[in-house]
Amino acid sequence: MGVATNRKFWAPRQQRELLKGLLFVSPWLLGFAGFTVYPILASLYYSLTQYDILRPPRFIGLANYHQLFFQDEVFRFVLYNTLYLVVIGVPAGVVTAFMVASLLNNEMKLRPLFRTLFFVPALVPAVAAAEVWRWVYNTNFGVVNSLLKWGGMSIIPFLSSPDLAKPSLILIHMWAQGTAIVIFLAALQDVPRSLYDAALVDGANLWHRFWNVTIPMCTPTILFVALTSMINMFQYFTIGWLLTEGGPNQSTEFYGIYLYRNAFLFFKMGYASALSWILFLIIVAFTILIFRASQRRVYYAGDGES
Amino acid sequence: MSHDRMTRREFLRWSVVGAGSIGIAACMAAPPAALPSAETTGQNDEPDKASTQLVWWHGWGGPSGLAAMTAIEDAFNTGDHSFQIERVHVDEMNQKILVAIAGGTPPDIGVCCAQYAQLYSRNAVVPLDDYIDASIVIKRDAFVQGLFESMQWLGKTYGVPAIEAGPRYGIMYNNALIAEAGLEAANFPTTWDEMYEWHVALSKFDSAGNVSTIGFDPRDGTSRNGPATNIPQFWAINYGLDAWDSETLTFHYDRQEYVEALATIKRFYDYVGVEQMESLRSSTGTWVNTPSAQFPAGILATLNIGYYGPGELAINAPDKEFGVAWVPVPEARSGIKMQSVGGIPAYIPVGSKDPDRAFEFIEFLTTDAVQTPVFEATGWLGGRKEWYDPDLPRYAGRDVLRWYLQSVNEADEMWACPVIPIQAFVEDQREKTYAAVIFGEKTPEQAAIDMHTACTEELRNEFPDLVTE
Repeated sequence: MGVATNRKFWAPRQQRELLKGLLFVSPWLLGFAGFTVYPILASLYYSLTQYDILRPPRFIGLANYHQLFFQDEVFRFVLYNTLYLVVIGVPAGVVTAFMVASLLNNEMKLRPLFRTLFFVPALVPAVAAAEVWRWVYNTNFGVVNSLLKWGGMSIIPFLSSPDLAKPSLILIHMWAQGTAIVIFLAALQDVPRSLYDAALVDGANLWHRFWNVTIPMCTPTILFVALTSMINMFQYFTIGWLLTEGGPNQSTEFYGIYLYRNAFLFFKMGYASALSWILFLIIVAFTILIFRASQRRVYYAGDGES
Repeated sequence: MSHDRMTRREFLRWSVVGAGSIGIAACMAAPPAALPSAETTGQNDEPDKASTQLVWWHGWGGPSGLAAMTAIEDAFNTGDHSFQIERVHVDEMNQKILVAIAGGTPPDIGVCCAQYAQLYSRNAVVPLDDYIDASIVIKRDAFVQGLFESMQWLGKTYGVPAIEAGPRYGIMYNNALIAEAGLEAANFPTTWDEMYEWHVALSKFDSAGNVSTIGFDPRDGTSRNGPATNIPQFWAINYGLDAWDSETLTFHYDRQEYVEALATIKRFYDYVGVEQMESLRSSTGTWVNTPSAQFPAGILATLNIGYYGPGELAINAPDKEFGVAWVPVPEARSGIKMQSVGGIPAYIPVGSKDPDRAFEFIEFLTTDAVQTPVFEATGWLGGRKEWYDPDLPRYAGRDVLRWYLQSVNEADEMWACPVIPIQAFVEDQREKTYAAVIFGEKTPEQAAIDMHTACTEELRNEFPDLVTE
C-alpha cells in the first residue's frame, strides 16, 4: 500500500520542484492565459453573439455562422479572392524564393551583395513597401506606365482593373521573399556534397541534379515555407488594405480586410469573431491537407519510412 | 553565519511576497499620466485650474488642421476657465474611440472623425438636450438649418455643431480648361445631359487612347460621399430621393430615382472607360487637399466640392483660376438649386469624467474665439448662421467662397444629413453599388435592389427592435 501511495502522489521534493518551476514560468503562463487563451475563448463566445462592443453581447446561437454561409454574398467573393491569393500566390512565392536561393547558392562574384539585396525587401516595413509599389504601379508616373506612354502604348491599369489587381499584389508578394530565400539558402547548404558527386558520376546533368538531388533534399524546408506562407496568405491584410482597400469592385476584398471591415467599421464584433473562427478552421483544414498530400514526398533524414 | 544566509524556502517565500506586492501595486489605479504638475505647467498660482484637466480628442491633422487645434487649446487654457484642456490628435478616430469607450477610458470630449450615428444609436455618447436647453451660449436657432437635426437620434441630441460646418455642394471648374475646350462658364450646364456634353468636350486622350484630361468624375469630391451625419448621399438627393426615412427607419434605395442616378454615374464612366478613369484618379489622387490631385493638377476639369474648395485650391493650385456653379440636376428637376450644410459634432463620450465641464468646453468651441482662428488657419466656417453673411469683412475678395455662402440663402432645397445607425455599412454598400454598376457587373436596376435589400437586412439584424416592417 505504501509503495502504491508513493506512486500516486508526488513526493514533497517533487512538489517543491513543481512549485518552483511553475513560479519561474508563471510570467509567461499568465501572459499566455491573459493574452492568448482568454481572447481565443472569448472570440468563440462572441461568435455566438451579436456584439458591437458598445452594447452588451446578445446570444444568438449559430446565427452569425448561418448568415456567413447562406446569406452573405460578399463572403463568397472574399473566399474566392483569398483562395486565389493562396493557390496562386503561395506557390509563386515559394518557387521564386527557391529559384533565387538556388542561384545565390552558386559560386559567383559579389554573392554577399546579391544575398543582401534579395533580403532587403524582408526588412522593409509593409507600409513603406506599399508606398514604393504604389509608385511602381502608378498609371501616370510609374516606371512601367511611363515607359509605355513614352513608347506610344496603352497603359496597364495594375491596381485599377479587377482582373489585374490580384496578380499585381501577388507580384509584390513574390518580391518580398527575402526571409524564405534565407531559409532556402540554409537548406541548400545542408545538401551533402557527396550526393552531387555521386550524381555526376552517374552522368546526371545540371537539371537532373537539381530535380533529383536538390529538390528532394530540401523538401522539409519547402514544406515549412509553403505552410507558413499559406497561413500568412490567408491572413493577408496590410499591403492589400493600403493599396486597394478591397477594390476595384471588390476584387481584392480578402478575408483579413473583410474581417477588419466588419469589426471596426461596422462594429460587428460577433460577426467578425465568427469570421475569424471560420478562417482558423480553413487554415487547419489546409494545413492537414498539405501535410497529408506531402507525406510521401517529403524526405526526413533518419526516417526509414520516408 | 547561518543566520545571514537565506534558505531556498525563504527565498521562494519572499519571492512570492515580492511578486504579489508588485502585482497589487500594478493593479492599483495610477494617477492620470496626463496630469501635469503645477511645476511643469508653470501654473503655481492656479493649483485648482491645473489639477482638473479634461482630455479632448480630435481627428483633424495636417499642418493647417493642427495649427487650428493648437490655437483652440491655447485660447481655452489661457482663458478664464476652471479647468484645463489637453488636446490629443487621434488618427483612425473611429476605431480608437470605440475601444476607448468600451475600455472605460474615453476622452472627455470628441470632435471629428468617427461614425457618429453609430455612436448615437448605441448610447455611447451623452445626450446633450438638457445642457443645450440650459445653455446661454448655444441656442439651436442660431445655427444653420439642418445641423442639429443631423446630430439627433430618436429625439435626443448627441452633438453640437463645432469647428467645421458649411455648404457641401458646388461645381468648381478650371477656367483655363473650359476656355481651351471652347466652352463658356456663363453657359455652365444645369442638367446632367448638358453636363455629359461638357464631359465629352473636356475629356482628352493621347494617340494611344490613354486619357489625359477628364471632364467630370462622378466619384470625386463630395459626389462620392454619404450618406453620413455630416454629408448626405449626393447621387440620391440630387435625383430628389431621400433614401433614408428617419420617421419609419426604412431605406428607399429601390426607387426609380436611384436607378436613374446610377445610370448617370455609369454614363460618365463609359465615355472615358472605367479602368482609364480609375487609373487616373488613383494615380493622381482625388479632392483638393494635395497639389497632385486630379482637379488641382489640372487633369480634371470640373469637381463637385464643398465650401472649403476655394481655400484649399488657393494653397494647392495657386497658379490656376477657378469658378463655381450650382450642381446640375436631372432633366425632370431642371431649375432646382440644391444644397446641404453638413457639420461636425462635438460630443461627450459616455464615461467622460466631468460631462458638465466637457459641455462648457463644447460651448467654447462654438464661439467666435474659436471660429476666427480656425477660419484663418483652415478656412472652415462653423455652424452659426451669423457666419454665413457673404458681406462680412473676413470674406472680402473671396468670390468663390462668397458664392457658397450665398448658396445657403438661395437654395431651393436644403437637404439635411441623415442619421443612419448602420452608417458605415450603408456607405460601404454605396461604394460597392457604384463599383458594380460602373464595372458593368450589375445593371443599375439590379444594383439598386441589391443595395436596398442589403441595407434593410443589415438594419434588421443589427437593430431588430427598431425594424417593424
